[in-house]
Amino acid sequence: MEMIKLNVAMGPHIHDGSRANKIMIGYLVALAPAAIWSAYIYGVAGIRSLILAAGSAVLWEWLARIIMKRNSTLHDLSALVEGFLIGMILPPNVSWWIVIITTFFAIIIAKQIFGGIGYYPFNPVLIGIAIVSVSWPNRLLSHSTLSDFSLGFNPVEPLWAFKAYGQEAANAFSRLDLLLGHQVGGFGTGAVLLLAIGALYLLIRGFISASVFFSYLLGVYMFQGMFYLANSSVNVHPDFYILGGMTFFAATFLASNFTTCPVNPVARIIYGAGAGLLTVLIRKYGVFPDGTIFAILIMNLFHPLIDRIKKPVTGLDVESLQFES
Amino acid sequence: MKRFFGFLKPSITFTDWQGEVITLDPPDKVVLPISQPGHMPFNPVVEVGETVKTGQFIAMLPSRTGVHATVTGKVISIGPGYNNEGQEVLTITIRRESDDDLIAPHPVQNLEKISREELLEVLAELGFGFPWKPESLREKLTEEERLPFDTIIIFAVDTEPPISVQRRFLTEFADDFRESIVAIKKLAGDARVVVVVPDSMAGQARSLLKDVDIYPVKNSTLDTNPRMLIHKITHKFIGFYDSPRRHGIVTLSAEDVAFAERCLHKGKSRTNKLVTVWSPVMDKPVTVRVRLGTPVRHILSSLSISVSSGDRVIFGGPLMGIAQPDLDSCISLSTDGVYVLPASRITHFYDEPCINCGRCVKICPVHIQVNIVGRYAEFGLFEQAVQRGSGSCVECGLCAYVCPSHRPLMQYMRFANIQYKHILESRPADEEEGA
Ligand code: SF4
Ligand code: SF4
Repeated sequence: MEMIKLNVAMGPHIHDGSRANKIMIGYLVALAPAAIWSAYIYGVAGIRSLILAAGSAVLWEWLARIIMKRNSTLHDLSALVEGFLIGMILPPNVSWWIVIITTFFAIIIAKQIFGGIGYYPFNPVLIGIAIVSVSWPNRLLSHSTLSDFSLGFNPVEPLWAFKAYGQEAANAFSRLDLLLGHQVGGFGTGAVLLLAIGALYLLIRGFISASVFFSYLLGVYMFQGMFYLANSSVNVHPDFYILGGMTFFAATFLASNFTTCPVNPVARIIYGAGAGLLTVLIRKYGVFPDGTIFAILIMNLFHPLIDRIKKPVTGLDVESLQFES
Repeated sequence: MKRFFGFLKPSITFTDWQGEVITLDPPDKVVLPISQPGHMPFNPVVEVGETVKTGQFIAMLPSRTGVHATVTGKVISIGPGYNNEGQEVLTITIRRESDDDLIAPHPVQNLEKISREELLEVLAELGFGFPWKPESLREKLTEEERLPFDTIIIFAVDTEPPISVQRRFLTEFADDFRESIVAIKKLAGDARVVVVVPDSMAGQARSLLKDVDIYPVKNSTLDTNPRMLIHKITHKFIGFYDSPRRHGIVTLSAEDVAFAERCLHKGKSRTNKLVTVWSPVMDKPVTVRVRLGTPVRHILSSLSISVSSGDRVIFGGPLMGIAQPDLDSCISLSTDGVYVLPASRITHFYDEPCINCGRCVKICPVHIQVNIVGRYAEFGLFEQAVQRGSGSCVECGLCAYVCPSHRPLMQYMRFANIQYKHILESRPADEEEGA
């Protein structure tokens, strides 16, 4: 009789077929509509920085893994997605070296030094953007990079305009224009409607956390709504905060980034709402017109702590962890 | 098994399709375990070389359950072997030499007249693992078997799809089942008797079984996990280091229960077992009736399922089943399913980093923060893992099933639990006080 050697292992013996890189492909699919729209508006100048960001991020990741003598992680596509996200957030026509520096800080400093995907405490994309936006604030202002473009709509960042000129400047932006993406800002962060399509796709696939997504948007809306109700002559209507700037982009791709957000349901809602509150506060009292980046970074800091808010484990009695046998 | 709608909780559900039971020819050889790990061994009553008839009493298990020859033939060996869980036990091997020569059934006459004690003796010898033990045996029982109990839970549901054995109680052994339940109620006295049935069969079960608690459950693995069911029914949680019996709970399977009747009134001993066999390359699972002790090789070749090196043969279901080392593993009383996984379909688990997606946490029925506890176990922090609740894991396997990083999460839980046990055992007694 032929000797048959069976394969043995502990259960479970089956898997639902999900894979981390499938989630990343989902992100790319969700980014596509907004990216294509922006490429149409800004032309080659915008695409250039998008491709530069994606390419340099992948390159940094590859280099970092080689220097650290670890297995390559390019196949999980996380570096590619982070590169694309950076390309979408940076303004179109931004200096090429800014792009490279951003991806360097994101991939090398904020991601690989901590061990790569799954291990970083702060969202690398946010760290990269935060560092350059603190270092070269003027170069990151979209309208300063767009002086020789003719776009057919108001080429001023809505949140910046509001910060500089107040209520009236804000109301000069039609809400429909904002929704349709007729606003400047990051390369791909303005087209709210198209981003919403991407977000819907991600939500249906379960690739981003619905509780963070909705609690963040609701948080921004509610807290700004309170300010608005308290004093509507100084504070802008919350619509403007949802549609203007990168709120929607942040809700979809940044706040709901798995690694840096909690996993328990209630904790996720607190995390999202907290980031919403901080966004509103930074926009109102801070120096930066668009506070999303810093708001989410601060919440990243607290995520392990917030994650302790959870249902108790069934049958766990820490006091009596003594065993008879 | 890909899901597009990832926001929904994945669930693995039973289909109502059951199909006919196919009775297979008896095998050339059966191997029957006659001891149980952790118990004193009991002596067989036959010798090597002796010829036995189908149904003949050959040994008594330590738990006072009779073992009977399941084919007619010659005892070829009595000695150490392994049970399906890989534990060392004593086994009897019988080679089949002729067609079945059944021993004459000896039903118990005058059931009303015999004393409870005698009834228990008879039941035990006929091969029924009742929780009530005859007084005469008291000193031979383990400490656990002497504990009192107040709840008897009878599972007429299967632990996971596609197994379809216990849930056939209505079609395969309804009358036996009803009669047995009546007997059990009588023996049970004050103890609560609960029968767990699939909710699609709850109505029929209620009309079949008068005055017992019927507990309907939904058709998915999350709902039929035995430890979760015990928790839902009795509000007592049985952790990794615990057994139901210590909480006064006895669990029986519907097949076992129905069998009690067959042996009492019809005087037949236990030789058959229903087993659901499935492989992803078959279109539908089939349920077969085989002799106890049948090597799995015989079942697979009868159903013309080919197995080659590198495939995986699992006793139980795809999530909680136990992989067998070779095709000589034999069907025992607890084997409800055989699942054959071709080498190309085997899932590999890796130590890839957790991306914190939270799917495992979302699905864990006992609310363990699986992502964190899994990391503790991965890096050898077993005490922290246990403090965070790994001991509550009911081993449903769903966390590893859904993890997009393919982390061996359930494996980590069990690893942490077992390692922690070793830590405690190796710790001097005085230190334990302070810990
Ligand atoms: S840890 Fe995993 S195997 Fe254990 S109960 Fe939770 S989901 Fe099931
Ligand atoms: S399912 Fe896997 S990747 Fe997701 S949180 Fe759990 S362990 Fe991490």
